[in-house]
Amino acid sequence: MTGRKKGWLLLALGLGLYLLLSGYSSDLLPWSRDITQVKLMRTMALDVGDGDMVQVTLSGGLQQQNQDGSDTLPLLLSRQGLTVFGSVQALQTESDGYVEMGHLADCVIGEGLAREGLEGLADFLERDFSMRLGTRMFLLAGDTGENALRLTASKTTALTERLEAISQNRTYGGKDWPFTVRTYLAETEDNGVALLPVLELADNPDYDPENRDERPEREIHLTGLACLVDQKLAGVLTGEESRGASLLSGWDQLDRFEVELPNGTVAGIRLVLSQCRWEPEFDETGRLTAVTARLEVQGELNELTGWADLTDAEVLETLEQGFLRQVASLAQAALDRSQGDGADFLHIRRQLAFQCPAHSTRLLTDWEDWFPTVELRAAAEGKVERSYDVDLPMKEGA
Amino acid sequence: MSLFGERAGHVAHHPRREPEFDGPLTWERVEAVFADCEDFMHKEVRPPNWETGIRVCWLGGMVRSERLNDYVLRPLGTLDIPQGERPTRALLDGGVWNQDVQEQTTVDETVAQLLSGSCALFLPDGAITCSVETEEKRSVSEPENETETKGARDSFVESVRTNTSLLRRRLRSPHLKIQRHVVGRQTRTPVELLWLEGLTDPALPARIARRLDEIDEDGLLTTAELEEYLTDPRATVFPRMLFTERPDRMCRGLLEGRVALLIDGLAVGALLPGDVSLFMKAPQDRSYHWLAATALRVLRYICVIVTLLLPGFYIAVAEFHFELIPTSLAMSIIASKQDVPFPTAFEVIGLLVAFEILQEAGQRLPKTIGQTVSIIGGLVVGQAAVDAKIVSPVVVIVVAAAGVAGFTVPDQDFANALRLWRLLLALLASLAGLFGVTMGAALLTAHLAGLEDHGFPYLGPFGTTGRNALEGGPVVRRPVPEDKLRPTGLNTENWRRRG
Repeated sequence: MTGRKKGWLLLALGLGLYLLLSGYSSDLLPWSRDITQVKLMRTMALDVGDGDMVQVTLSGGLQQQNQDGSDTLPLLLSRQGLTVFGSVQALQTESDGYVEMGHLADCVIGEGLAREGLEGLADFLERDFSMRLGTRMFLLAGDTGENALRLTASKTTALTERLEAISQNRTYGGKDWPFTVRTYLAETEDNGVALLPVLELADNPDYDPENRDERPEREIHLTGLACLVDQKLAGVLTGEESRGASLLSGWDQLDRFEVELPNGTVAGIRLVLSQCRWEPEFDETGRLTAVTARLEVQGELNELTGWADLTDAEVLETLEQGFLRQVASLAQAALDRSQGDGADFLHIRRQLAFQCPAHSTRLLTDWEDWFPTVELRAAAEGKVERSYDVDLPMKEGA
Repeated sequence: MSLFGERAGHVAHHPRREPEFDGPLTWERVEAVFADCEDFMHKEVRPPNWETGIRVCWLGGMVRSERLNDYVLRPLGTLDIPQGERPTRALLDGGVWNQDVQEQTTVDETVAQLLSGSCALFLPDGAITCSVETEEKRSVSEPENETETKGARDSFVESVRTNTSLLRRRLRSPHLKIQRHVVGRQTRTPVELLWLEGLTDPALPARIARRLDEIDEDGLLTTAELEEYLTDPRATVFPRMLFTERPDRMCRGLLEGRVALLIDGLAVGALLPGDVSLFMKAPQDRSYHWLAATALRVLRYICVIVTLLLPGFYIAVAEFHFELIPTSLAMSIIASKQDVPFPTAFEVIGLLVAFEILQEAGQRLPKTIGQTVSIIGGLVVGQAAVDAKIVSPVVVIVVAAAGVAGFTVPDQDFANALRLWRLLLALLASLAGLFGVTMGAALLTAHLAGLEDHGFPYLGPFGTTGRNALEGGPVVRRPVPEDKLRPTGLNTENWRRRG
């Protein structure tokens, strides 16, 4: 390289370095923001605000722990705005760091907002680049999301951690939590009906008003499933309906059953496997007349309150039939509720369309007419496994 | 003051004089050449019936006294030359008891022989030299830097002839050719070029021999002085010659079709051309089971990626893309950095530099003190810095992990190149995050792909495709009976290792 060329190269390098270091390059290079200047938000609560406004409350969870262990209360930020985005942006001025939504784990929607509709929220979730499709969604019954964040927070716990535990404990076999932004958007797009888990606040018996930062005032519990039709709360499934919907959807694998045997002994059975197969019946015109939800389940015997000779085939048959009857009953309750509300929250249409491609066109076009009158049946088959030597009668002589 | 030294452009050329000492070869001329040299010694011996004496001269310390006295001076004292025979002829024909007696005609060659440990005899009709060099040298010992548990325990020494003997004892082949070149105006260092005839591409030793002869330097005292003449381009930090102190490793290279160099005065030999896979192979790879050796090689390549990219990647995710980190990890990083006053990039780059300083200090000091410095620097100062919240523990872990991963690279020159690129990638990451790291990695890949040494691509083993690729690659060490072909890029005359 000649001296002149080398000189030009050095000049160009120097100029480039000067431009980079002087900040002129801010438009050319990605933004730099040190992680210590960031406030990671973990939970977002959405409620109805004043007038047409929406209230957004953000919680940082327990992330503010210091290395020396001196915990502080979770960071809570709250603002109202005409849009969710506007409220979130307004919160940037509330914090001493950049409010980062990229690690948002949960979104809790107050019942009031759910009744008014979630169109704005859905659009924000879909468009905003910082939102994650894996963010879990919940609906809070009977209270506001802000209260859920505020009243369940203490120095040692926060709503985020509780929801994390709920989502971990309610799934089995490593399955992902099924109620996320992704599933909500997909189900809404499919037929306008989506299910969300319902949370409720309850008093915390350990709450000490004298020491309010140590234990939260309220506890949160999962109580059922909310059905949203066209992004508005249409109803809440509780008890058998909720369990049945979970069974049919294969979501909740931690269900338990209690079957009473003829001699009065009660068997505690844990559900360890549930798979649903939809069996449609069409008449000669191609009209759907009936759909059977055939559940293949497997239970595991966990407890007997008294003596039962499980080597006796008749006793075992009774136990299994009782278990399968309960399963079918739960499923039937969910099917009846779905048909009664006219809301296909189990997405039967989509599953049948996949299963029967020859009927898919009519299923898509005529579903609204067929659904109220089609016969929905539930059936269960499967067995109960025992985790011990079956040749040894349990609690003999008890 | 100049950072890069004086530029040579405006300094007049100073070509080597050929011959360096002109004029007729006489005793006076040689004595004049060695004027003011305290170690220049001479003696006059007068054989019986001679009218004039024979002048014998040598350089003290370069010759072995017993050889000079018993096999040169003593025969001279009883020398009886038949009438009419030339004295020079008589000595060449056995008048002195020496295996290497040469008649000299030029001052240059005579001086060179004296400097190599010969003695010169000035007779009435000419001059001869006899090799009486001393064999005082360090004995063959265990290699210090390339230890192996299941292999040979000998290593090269500073004597080139001893080193060739170490090779000959392993490669008992007449096809092993050894060609001597002398490099250095002042040092006149013997450099020996070795290759296996009938196996190595003949163009390769010829090209290297030509380059060796073209070297016009004052001296050859270090390896880099040779490497920078024999390889091109120079604008790369990656080594192209593998320096090894193990004779068995050099034999392996020769059997692959490479060319070796042994330099007198250096206890290492060089293999060339080099490629990435050569620098990533450890001597013990052939001693272990092929699966274990392959696993270790894979681990080494992973470590290369870690040592190169980890600091840059950490800067990128901590300053630009924290949404990429799992939430729990992000929270841990934030908690650990809460009271640290410096931005992440400054922390990482500063610690990288500190790590290099520690390493350099450890190498400059005697081994025992060097270890102490490492312990004090790494553990005590590191822990104190974390406690004082000058650096965060995560950054210490990142830099330490990158540093330790770099130590798995078998070749120190290659590891040094990775250290420089690691710093560059960290700088790029601090400027542009993952974009910068990606651009840096692409630049590095392009740079490596563009390197070529004597027609052999630096990434050649990774680019081999088709049938040849099946015969064992740079990462997988196949079972020896199945590894039948030599590296294809070396263009060997004989491709197969076995029948």
